[in-house]
Amino acid sequence: MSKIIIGRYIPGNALIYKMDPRGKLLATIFFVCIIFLANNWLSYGLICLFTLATVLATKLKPKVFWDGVKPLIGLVFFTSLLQLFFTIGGKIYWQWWIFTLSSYGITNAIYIFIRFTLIILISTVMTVTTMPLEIADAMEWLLTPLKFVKVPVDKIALVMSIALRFVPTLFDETLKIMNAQRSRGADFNNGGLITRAKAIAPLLVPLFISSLQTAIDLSNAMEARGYRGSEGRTKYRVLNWSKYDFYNLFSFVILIILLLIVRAH
Amino acid sequence: MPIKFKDVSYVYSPGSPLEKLGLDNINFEIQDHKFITIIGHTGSGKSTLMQHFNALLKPTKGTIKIANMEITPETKNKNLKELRRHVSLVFQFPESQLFEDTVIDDIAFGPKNFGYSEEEAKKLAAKWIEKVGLPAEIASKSPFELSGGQMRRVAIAGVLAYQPDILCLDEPAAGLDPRAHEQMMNLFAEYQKEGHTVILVTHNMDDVAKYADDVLVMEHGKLIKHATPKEVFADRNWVKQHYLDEPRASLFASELENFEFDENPLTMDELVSEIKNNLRK
Amino acid sequence: MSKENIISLQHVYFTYPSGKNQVLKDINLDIKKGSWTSIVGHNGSGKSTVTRLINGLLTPDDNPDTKIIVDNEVLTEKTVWDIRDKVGMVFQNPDNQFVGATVADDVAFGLENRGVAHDEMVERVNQALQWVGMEKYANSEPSNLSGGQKQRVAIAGILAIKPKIIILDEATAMLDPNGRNSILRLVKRMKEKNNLTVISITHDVDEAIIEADQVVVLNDGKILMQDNPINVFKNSNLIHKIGLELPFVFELKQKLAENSIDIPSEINTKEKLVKYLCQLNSKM
Repeated sequence: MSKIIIGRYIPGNALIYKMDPRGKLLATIFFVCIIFLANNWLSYGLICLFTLATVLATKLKPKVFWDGVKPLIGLVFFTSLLQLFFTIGGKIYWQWWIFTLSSYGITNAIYIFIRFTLIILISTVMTVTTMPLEIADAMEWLLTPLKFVKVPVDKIALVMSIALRFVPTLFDETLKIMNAQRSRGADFNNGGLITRAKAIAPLLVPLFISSLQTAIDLSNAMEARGYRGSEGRTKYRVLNWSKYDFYNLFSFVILIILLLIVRAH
Repeated sequence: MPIKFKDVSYVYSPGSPLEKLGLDNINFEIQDHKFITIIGHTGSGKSTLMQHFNALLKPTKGTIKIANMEITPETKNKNLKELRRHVSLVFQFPESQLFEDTVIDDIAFGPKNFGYSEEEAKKLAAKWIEKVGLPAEIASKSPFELSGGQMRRVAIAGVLAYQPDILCLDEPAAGLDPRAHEQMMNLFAEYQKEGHTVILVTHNMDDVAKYADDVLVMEHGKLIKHATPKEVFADRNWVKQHYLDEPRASLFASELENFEFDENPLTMDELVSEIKNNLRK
Repeated sequence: MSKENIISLQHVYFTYPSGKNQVLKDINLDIKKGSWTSIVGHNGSGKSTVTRLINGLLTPDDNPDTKIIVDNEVLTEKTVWDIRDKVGMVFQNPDNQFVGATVADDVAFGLENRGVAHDEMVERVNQALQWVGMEKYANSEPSNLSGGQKQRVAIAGILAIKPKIIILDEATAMLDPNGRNSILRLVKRMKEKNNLTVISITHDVDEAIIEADQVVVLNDGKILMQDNPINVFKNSNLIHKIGLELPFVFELKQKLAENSIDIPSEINTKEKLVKYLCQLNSKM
């Protein structure tokens, strides 16, 4: 009866859900690039506003985004601290050994902090509003040019989609085997490093064997259903651009124009 | 000491969007050394209930008394090993839990975990290889060389080897051919007669009729009936209302319109003797 | 091979590449078009192997007499893909044959493999889902479905290809009784509707006697019996000897006979036995 959420997708009905995953993936990459256009308080304020608007547009609870930022917050702080104490320039307030606290350092640290946080927030918007499968489809589209250099993009895409599909199955199997071994007195939680390392074999061996069986069954089923490589295959799942993707693009154009104007000041 | 569930409820992933009531205020008591079956549809809470017997799941609310222990929502994980030595669970398709290099080592895994010495554990393993009907020379083979049916027996032997007082099984005969099915069921019936409690989760009503002392019927996380097989299947309308199956013998008997049955026959033997009685009159 | 046979196996032997023992020995089997054949036998008797030879998932041992004919085509490396268009197979484990990320994707898998155009594909997926009653679940992920529902999807994926033969390889063994019954009813309905030939590998002798036109009993890689179900199951001693059980009606008849209530041999279905016993009772 266990159920897990793969990736971080949270179902919803906001406008952003209707956008094409390819558009969303491109927009996310695009955002990471143009954030470097910001060079003063006003431009950072503008990007913050844009991000805030995007986050609000998902109509999801703030906790969702906090969960996205939380695991990386330490790293963001650490990077900001490096900026804070190692940047030299402007007015110097304090100096000791190799550490310097300068006015440039303070501004840079704050900029870096904002930049990272915003990038994490925007990627979270992407991952919570797009199903893993759609992300995989978008990645396949993005990788399409690689076909010309003989990269088997179709096969990679099929493998990705099957892998995604089997995550819950494997999770259930792991839980079942763990419970079965616990019933036989295995202990996965206590003891020193060596005891725990030993305890993992009763879990890993059966899991490996059952995965192997799954793979054999699956390849049999695929072959029986006429799979003979990607040549001549058509695709059921096609992505369609819609007016929502135009909104997506349009908002970015406006953001860039505004950024360029503000930057010049 | 009887097994006692008092006001037991269990909630899956509380506080998350996937929150779901697994068990809803369960109360029952079962006496020692009985053969108990748990029936109900897929998703009725049978498996959730079963996982409470050895505290793989702990109740969100309520108290369970089993094997001289009391399990409450506050029970610490540390104290559970002693419980699991006395109460063991066998999941569906248990052959998937085998992992050791040899059959004998795999069977000895449980006993060793529960404090038997290497030597004692192997002795027990050797004994149970035979008791589950496998040839002795299989001991040194890899479990992965065996047939599916043999692997199933090895897995069952691995649990019986430390002789739990209470043995809980989830569809242990699923996928076996009829002969293996019967041998497997007889093994559990014998284990019960030797003075242990056997709890069987099953969809097979013929097995319920043939082996069970008591039946627990689950529906939507609730215990809707706790009675003997005779009592459960006596009320045909009630059985139909809850979309449960009937034993084949009782289903056949229900079509014999001009027959008078003293008691609704549940097994083949009962059916035959009832038919005989009717024809003699 | 006579015209009405859709499958014919002639002198088929099979040994697993890694094994020494022959798992199938001189299998000769004809299956009539539009019939239901149940293959029974204990675990490891070679039942699954037989069906996997029919659609070329396995290749028989090299032998000049061996021939496998499916719908008037001799199975060779060249025709194997043609033959797989005609034979759909439902496997035992509902999870391990679900390829697509969603129900609709999975039904489409076989169509994608055959290069069917997108518009037609959508139409055929929708139709197949309707046939099996899963249209509401088109966008569901497999982890949200029951075993029985997954098997329905597997059947839809096969029907979408418009096969002539459907093989159930213990397809109901991992399901609960409700799932099992609903899958059997579905296959029966689809068989009538699309004039399919059904081959079912099963332990369920009650299924065999109700549904099958022909029962094939395999034991240790050999065909022991091959006849209509009534003729097969009246050999009660043989059936018990090879580890199978009798259908309920046959077992009851046998037990009654042991209690000196003899039932004539032509009484061999549940309905007939009920009627016979009731008549017998009213005479007393």
